[in-house]
Amino acid sequence: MTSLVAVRPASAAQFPAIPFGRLLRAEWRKATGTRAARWLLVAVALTTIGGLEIPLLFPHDVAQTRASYLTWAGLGLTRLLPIVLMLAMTAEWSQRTAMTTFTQEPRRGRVLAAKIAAGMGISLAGAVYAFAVTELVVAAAQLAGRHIAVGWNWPQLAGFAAFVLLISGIGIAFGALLHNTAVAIVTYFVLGGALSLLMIPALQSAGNWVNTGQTYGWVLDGQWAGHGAQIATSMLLWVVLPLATGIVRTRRREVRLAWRAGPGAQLVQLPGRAGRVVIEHGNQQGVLVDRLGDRRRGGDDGSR
Amino acid sequence: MITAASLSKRYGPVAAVDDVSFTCGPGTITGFLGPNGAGKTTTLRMITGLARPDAGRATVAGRPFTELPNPARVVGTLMDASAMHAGRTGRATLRIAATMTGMPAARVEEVLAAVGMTRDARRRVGTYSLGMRQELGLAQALIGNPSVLILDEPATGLDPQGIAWIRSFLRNFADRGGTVLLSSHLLAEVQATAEHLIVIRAGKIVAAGAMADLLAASGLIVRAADQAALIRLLTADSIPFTPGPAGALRAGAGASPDRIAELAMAAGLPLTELRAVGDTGLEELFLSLTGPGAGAPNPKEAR
Repeated sequence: MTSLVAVRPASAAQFPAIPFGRLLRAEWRKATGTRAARWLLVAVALTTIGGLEIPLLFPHDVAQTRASYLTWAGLGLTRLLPIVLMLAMTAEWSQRTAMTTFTQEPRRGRVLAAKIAAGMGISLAGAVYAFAVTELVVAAAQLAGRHIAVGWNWPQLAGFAAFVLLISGIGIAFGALLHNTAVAIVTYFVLGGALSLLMIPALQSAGNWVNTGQTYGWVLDGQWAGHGAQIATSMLLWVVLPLATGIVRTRRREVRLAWRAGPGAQLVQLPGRAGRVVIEHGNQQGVLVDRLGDRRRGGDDGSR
Repeated sequence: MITAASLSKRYGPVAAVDDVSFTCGPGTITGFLGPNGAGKTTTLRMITGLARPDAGRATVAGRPFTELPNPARVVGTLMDASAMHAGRTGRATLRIAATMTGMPAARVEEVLAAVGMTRDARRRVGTYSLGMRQELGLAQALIGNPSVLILDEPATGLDPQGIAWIRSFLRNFADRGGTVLLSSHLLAEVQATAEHLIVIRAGKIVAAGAMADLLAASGLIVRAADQAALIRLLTADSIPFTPGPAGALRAGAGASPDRIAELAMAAGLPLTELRAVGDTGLEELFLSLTGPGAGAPNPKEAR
């Protein structure tokens, strides 16, 4: 045990700053190394394969082109991957690991940059996986006699990758802004549903700027020519703005710890305050405590 | 080396921490005590950069925490053992810490073995008991091979073996030059482990200094079979006193045991107990400084 810690005079300068590559590697592991993330990634893998069944089984209803197969493969990916990336952001707060993360690297901007980069990397890996599986299935179908138009359409391929990245961007941005897993996921899906209301003809012209279902659809189909401004606007609204706000919020937010009750403590709601105040018995002072999603019971006696 | 200089923080109308200053030198273990809500955790959060002070400054190893390039190599922190991702395994948690700090993978196994978590490391943290989370948290604090440790209630939930292990580990750590700042409610443990003390109440420091000095200076416990007579005796000689434990009286600091014994003998009043508060330990000192009968916070220093 004596060799466990070799205490030496504390000289902070001898330990250089954490290289971004290490931050990136740590964030990648964090984003993919939890039970929730693993199950989501398994679901992505399976729905990619499952999605390809549709064009295979319904050749008369679904266009038999490479691009169409790719779109079906990407169905699960584009719904589930943003959740994985959202979790990478929100879990720091809902699981309270922000305390650990920001004492390992107090420069929160760097941590966020690493999370964003890792998120983009995971998305790209997902896009490559979907593409690879599609190629295998298309090749197998062709060998089995199915006729599939296999003209290479580079704008559509690039569009697919860009689409995955853009969708994931929304997930990252919402996670960075909202800090609460449940709220972020619900907001993501509710907003997505609300936006699709903009597809009705009367609202279509406004929707072309704001509705990512439309603008990202252009990206996916590789038809972004002439729609650059509209795509950029919807990106600004749904990715850039929430992300920028989320970065500011994350950098400024205080990290609270779990609250443990003393024997005489009372919990009081101060009017107008978002949190609750602990007032010690007989003591007029108090400490403002953040609203915690799940406070653990029985912490003081060693049981869970 | 940890320094805090005039740290203050308000939350709305409430001063959670009010002008707190102290220093922890290398080779020392300092116990940081205070009732819940007194500002202990807020102070520790300000020292580790998790909260921004409204006034004042804190440094670790000579620099503010947020300016340390790789803080976990210099100072290990265990602030909230339940602040771990329940869906990650113990080993994965430590491997992430090792990646962040730049330690080799072998270090993960080393700290796991030291806290005795090797076998449980492959299970998810969500399945751990509180004591196991504490041990993992301790392992995580040590992974960067730091020379300073800031621990918030490290012995909570540990079994007696664990508590004894921490005590001897921290002693060993300090003996080799490390600095330890540890907050705890296990007063017997703090008394056995720490040699310096800081007591905080309602955001202000009410006692700071060497444990031995503080325990010696904290007054006398006096007991007699005829308490009324004892009260008359002390009042007649203007010796301040307050109710003490189990029906005895606590004479204020500065009361001399010799004087009280003389008075009692002259009055023919047999005393059944006459001793320094410090003899039965930290608990009485703590309660006298922070209990409801303790009066307004009045900083008291002992060198």
